[in-house]
Amino acid sequence: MEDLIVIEGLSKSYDSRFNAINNISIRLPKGKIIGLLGPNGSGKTTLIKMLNGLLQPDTGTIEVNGVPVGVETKSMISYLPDRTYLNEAQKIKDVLEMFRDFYKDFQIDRARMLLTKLGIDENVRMKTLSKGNKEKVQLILVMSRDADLYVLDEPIAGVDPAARDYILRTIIENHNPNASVLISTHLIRDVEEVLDEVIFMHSGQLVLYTTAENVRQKHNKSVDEYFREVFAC
Amino acid sequence: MLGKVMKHEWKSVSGVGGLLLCVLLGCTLLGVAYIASPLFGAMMGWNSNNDAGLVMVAGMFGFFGIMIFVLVFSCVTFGMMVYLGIRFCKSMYAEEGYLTQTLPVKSSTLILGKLLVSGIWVLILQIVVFLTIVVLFGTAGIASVQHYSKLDSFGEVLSMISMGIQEMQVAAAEMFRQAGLRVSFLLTLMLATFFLVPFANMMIFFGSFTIGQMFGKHKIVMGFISFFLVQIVLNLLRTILGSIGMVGAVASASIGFTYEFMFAFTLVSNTIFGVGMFFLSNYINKKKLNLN
Repeated sequence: MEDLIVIEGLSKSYDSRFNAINNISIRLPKGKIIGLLGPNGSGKTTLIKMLNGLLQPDTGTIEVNGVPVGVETKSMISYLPDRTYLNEAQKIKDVLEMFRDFYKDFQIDRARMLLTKLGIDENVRMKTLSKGNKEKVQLILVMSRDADLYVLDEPIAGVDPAARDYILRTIIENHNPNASVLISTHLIRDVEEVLDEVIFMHSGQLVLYTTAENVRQKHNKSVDEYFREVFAC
Repeated sequence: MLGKVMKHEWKSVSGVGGLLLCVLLGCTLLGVAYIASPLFGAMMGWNSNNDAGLVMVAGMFGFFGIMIFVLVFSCVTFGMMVYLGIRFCKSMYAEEGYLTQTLPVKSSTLILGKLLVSGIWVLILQIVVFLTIVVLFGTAGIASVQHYSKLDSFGEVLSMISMGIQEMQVAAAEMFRQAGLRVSFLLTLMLATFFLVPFANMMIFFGSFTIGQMFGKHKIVMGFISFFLVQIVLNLLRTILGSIGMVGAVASASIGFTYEFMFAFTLVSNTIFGVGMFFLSNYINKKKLNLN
């Protein structure tokens, strides 16, 4: 199967005593939903930031579709960070226009349809929305792109169970079927059923990369149960 | 892509810019209303029938009015620069940076787009402040000429002012000639300084925030600290280089050359520092970006 992401010898440290990412090499295929799983501080977000060009690695390389991380890969990746990244003073319609201007693959009609389903008026400013609705607007923006890779950092953290269902449904129903989805989370039980493959990370290192089905068959446990076993304190 | 970056940057900062323009317009209207009112004449002592109380109140109005105008004029441009600097930092290196820095746009295009919009806004405000001052002084001048010349016709007043300006031009030209000043060259330098320095200063401001983001935490505070440190370094360089040049200029025993050197040096040094900061910021964004 053709590789979408190729990571070779990747390392990153924030200070001399601690490696946030320690010599990771991995190849991820196209067309899969992949769970990037690990406890807090395992290096998931650091890896995601480097994938999106928000942090520079100390050593190693990352390629997406055979292209080193840069301007070109940014047009291939649809990224949902673990925080609100929209200007609070902006109206939603201005954000839609911004996405349409910068991303050729942005489907503005899909975004409008998803907003309408949620009853969110695009003429309101971001600051008037609740925290949950802000997160949903961001998710709608990200999933309204026909990207090659969706990178979702903790998309269901800190939201109620009903919102989690909505978020997962939106991801499953709207992602480009030829693309891969990389979901970082430690709430495994909620996402387990949608995952094709899983990556376990701990202390900046790769502990496991296999299919979700393989984990279930080999260990006779769900991914969540196996994760709890591997990372038991 | 540059046009798109500028379009969205313009949208995001034009609210504050528009507000400041309204403040300037309000100040101008208040100033003109004051000059047109009997209070201005009372302050100037044009009517001997006015009682002392009215003259004092008019004087206080005038004094505080001028103080407030000077404060507003200074704060508008400086305040806009600070706002634009913070806005740049927030949109590039704080939460909003997670979107800005993942747009499929070169970092040089992002910086240039934001710089052009910010420079244009500072320039607009500078021009409006200048026009406001012209309007206020012009109105006061017309009122004074009208009072002292006792002319009723507005056309006659304007023609008298026009004659006065022409006489001043002749006198100034003679003064410049004696001082060895090349008027057209100096005017070109002044205009270039007026139009280019806002961009150079904004870039120095942006560059400082870009250096500040490398510290990871308290990026805006570190941006301001970087700005002051950068200013100290730049002023040191300006003083050293400027002193060397000034010695040469003074040695030439020409006041004109000294003035020309001062303007040229301000223009060239700011431009070089601005361009330097642009390349440094671009390098940091490409190689040392730290959205942590």
